[in-house]
Amino acid sequence: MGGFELTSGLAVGLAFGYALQRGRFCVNTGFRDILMVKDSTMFRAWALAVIVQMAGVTILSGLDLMPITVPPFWWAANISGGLMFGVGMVLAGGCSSGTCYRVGEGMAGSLLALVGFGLGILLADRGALQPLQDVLRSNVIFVGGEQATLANVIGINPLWVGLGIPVAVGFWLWRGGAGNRQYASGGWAWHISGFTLGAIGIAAWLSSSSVGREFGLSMTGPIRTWFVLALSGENYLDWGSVMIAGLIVGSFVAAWAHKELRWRAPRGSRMLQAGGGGIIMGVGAQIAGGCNIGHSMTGMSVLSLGSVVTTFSILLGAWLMAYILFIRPMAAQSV
Amino acid sequence: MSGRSQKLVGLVLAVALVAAAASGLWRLNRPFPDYDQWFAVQVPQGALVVDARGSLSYSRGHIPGASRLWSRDFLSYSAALPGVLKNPDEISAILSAVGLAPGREVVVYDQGTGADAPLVAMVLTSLGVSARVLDGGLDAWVAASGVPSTDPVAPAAVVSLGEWTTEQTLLVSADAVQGAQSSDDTLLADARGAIDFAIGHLEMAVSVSATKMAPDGGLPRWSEAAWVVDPAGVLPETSIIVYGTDLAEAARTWLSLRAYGIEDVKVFAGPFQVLAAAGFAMEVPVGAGAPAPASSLCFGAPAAAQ
Repeated sequence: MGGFELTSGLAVGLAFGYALQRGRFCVNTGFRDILMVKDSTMFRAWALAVIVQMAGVTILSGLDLMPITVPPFWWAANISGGLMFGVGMVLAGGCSSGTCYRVGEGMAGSLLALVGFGLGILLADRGALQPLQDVLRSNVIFVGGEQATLANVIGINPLWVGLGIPVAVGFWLWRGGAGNRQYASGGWAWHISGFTLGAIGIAAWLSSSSVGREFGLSMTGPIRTWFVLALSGENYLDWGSVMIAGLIVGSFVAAWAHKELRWRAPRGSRMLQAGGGGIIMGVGAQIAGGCNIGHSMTGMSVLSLGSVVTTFSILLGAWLMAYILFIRPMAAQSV
Repeated sequence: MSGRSQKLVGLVLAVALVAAAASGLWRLNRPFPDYDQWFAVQVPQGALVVDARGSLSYSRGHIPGASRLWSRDFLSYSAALPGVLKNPDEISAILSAVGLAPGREVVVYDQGTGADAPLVAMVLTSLGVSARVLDGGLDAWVAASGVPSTDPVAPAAVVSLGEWTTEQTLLVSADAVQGAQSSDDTLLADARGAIDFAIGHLEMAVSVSATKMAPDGGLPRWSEAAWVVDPAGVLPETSIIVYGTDLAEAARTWLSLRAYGIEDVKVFAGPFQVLAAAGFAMEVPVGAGAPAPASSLCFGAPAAAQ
């Protein structure tokens, strides 16, 4: 690994972790709260992060300043993996990025979820579930010989789609108000969080692509590299691996600087649930070819149809599990 | 930590992020150190223009005044050993018949795929002719408002063989490859694709894939070249011998390496098949450094890129 790969990956990871912790950014929270408490604050942060990155990547690639890689549309893997990931992240109590930044804050449950996430990835990548992954990924749909995107499916110049969606969603966010609401006391307001994460996403594309890894922020692959190294000794560490390490350190620094760093361990059953949820999340992310970051932020920024389908599947899976785990029991209690 | 310190931490991280993004943007778009020596963006006045494509493509439209010199004319074919470079006398005869004169600037082009022009440029360079490749080929030339011609070009005067300054050092024999296998001074570079390399390659060789070096046949981004070259341990002063599935593939890697600034790049004057058939020591990578299993590949990118 070269010096630039190391330092630039670390710089992006540190900033990413810092921003995640200050914004309490978690897609699990964003998706779940719409259904459970009718609160879209975190969802708005996610949507803003997506459109900022989408606009930036569209402009940079449109000017031929940066190469892009579009995640494939293997629909069966996208749907089933996305659903599993959504179910798993509600059980684990956080998405992949939310889990990682909470590890930096000192949450033992998230640490167990992260371990489960890594093991789940390996289970589908090279373990007992590998045949299932291969079957689900076997049917890839191309459009005109290229990876399917929102632009080539409807036959429109990607510039129009990549800039049109940010304008439309941006207008919706602006009209929707929510002012300077923070998700948590002392944290960043949703729009600061969303804009910053979108900007970090663009920086990740530039930095990562310049060392040959033509993709932006992601969690699944980089986490896999660490677990593969730890369990088999095979060294595939790259820019993404360093970025993940930087993420955890960055969230640690943010929590420490703002006096929010403390060791917290939930009771045993909750720990087991977090670990089990992490495994399901890892299997789903590996099968789908990415998670709430690789697909729902980075893949969406290049208009990947596979990423759009995965994101909707994650949303459905999260809502399904939130209904089973929280809404139905609460409704039964109130009767 | 005080509010001022908190802001300082945030500021440091923001500066580091901007620096990573800006340097990434620069690395992605920086020019090759020796680009101008090996590539031309336009056809210079007075230069001899050579069309390296086949006769059918040439007859459908070429740069006005361009001489046709198909890259495959330099190779001899047989069922057992396809694509072996002809001997210098035969090549000189071909060039002489086209009218190439020593000392004259030459610009070679193909359609833009890199399938033909690098090979012609490499052979001309081996004979001491200063040859550059038209970046982007005919497609780029037409896109820049060039109008192809279908007019035949009058045959040039034959140049006598004695006027050529033949530099036999660029194209090397199997003996030189064998020497490199037992020497630390010269790096063997395998220009074939990653899968071919994984199946089997010459002992001591590193993968410097032509496909990665020159995606779609054109010159890669500098960062893409660096991504291939740096892990292979190639330094500007490294002596390299390139081999490929065929000479055209090896020539693409040769051209990219030269434009990247590596001075001493030689090419084995035949296909990999010749070396394999001659019983050269082979190696199949296992364990660390081997390509990731297919199931690890995601988005068509390296294993970690998801």
